[in-house]
Amino acid sequence: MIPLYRSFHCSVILFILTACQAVGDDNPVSFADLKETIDRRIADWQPTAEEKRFDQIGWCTSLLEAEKLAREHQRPIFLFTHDGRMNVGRC
Amino acid sequence: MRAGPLANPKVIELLNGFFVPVYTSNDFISGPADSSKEEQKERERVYRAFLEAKLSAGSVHVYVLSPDAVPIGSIHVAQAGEKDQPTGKDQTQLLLEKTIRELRTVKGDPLVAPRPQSGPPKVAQAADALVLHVTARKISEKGRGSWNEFPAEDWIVLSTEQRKKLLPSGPVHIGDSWDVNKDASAPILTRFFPQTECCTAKDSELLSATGKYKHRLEEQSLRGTIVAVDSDKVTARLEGRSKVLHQFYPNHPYPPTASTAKILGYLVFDPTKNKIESLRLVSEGGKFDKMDMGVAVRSVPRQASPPHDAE
Repeated sequence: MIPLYRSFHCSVILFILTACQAVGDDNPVSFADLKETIDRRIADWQPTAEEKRFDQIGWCTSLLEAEKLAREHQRPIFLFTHDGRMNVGRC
Repeated sequence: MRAGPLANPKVIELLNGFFVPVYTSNDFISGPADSSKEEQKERERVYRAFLEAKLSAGSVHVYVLSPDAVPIGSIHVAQAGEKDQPTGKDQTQLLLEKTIRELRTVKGDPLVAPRPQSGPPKVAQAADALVLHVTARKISEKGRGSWNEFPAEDWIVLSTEQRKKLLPSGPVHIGDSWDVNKDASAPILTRFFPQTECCTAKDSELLSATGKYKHRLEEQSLRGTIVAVDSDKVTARLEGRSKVLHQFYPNHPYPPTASTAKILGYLVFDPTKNKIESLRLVSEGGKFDKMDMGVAVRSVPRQASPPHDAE
């Protein structure tokens, strides 16, 4: 059987460890750590090249411009009409 | 479409080598009013021409036209990515190849140099504007299913007045805290939601509480605490939270989606000039309904990227 005072000491130590963990979870211990976390997340969450393959296509900025180039170079026109803004993924 | 046929390497090669590719948004035309009217007129002519030619036409549609802008072929977006069983090619690739064969088009270089399609709007070139780039993505569903294939991006341009309202007033000391003025934080935090069914290019509709999307920044807070003070540079950590309500499908009777996040960030500014050198925010434990969501905001130097025409 654990004496009462030892049980109390264990509880105090456990409380301190829990409190430290809680602080660690909510607030990184230093601003340097916080900054590192933020910078890493920003880098990780940027759109990837794989997600932006359509950037590899040489898009015209208007139908009229496309028609002008098509006549000049005797190329067919590929037109995709859509709702929203495909370029930023709000579509 | 963007994550389907337009991400297919063969389709990309065909479009660059044989076609003049263009995409248009149904309720948005960039440029001056005169040219916008002409552009709109031509879009309407093309739509009617396809109907008259007994070819499919619609608002979200693939069209192929001859060098003289005469209809050749079209596909509804729902079929554009469908695979042809015998060849394994998608319907878009088949239409492009058929067109090349029939017109005997000669391969060449892209007529327009490929470039990033997402960039800061032209207004961002104003000398004292603060330009922010936002990425909002669903993390747990990344790449799986519609609206999860790529993140949503937003470009925010804060005016001089809004930019000033991000900063504390008066002299600052380490440990000082302040609540960021909501006039400055709201334009940023209202974008803390990922990709949804978006049928307009107009922010005035997409972000309207009374519009089809019933969009609301329901809760918001952003608090700064000074962590370092130098003669011309002050650094502050930022903490806050956001809750954005947004109807996934416009005018849908279902309850709006809820995007919630705790926010961490930092701000570096010159107090003598009220100039912001860097503003960065990220979500912490972000949720889009039950899905994990990640949102990242970063300030962008004005010359870092050329202005985009689509604004």
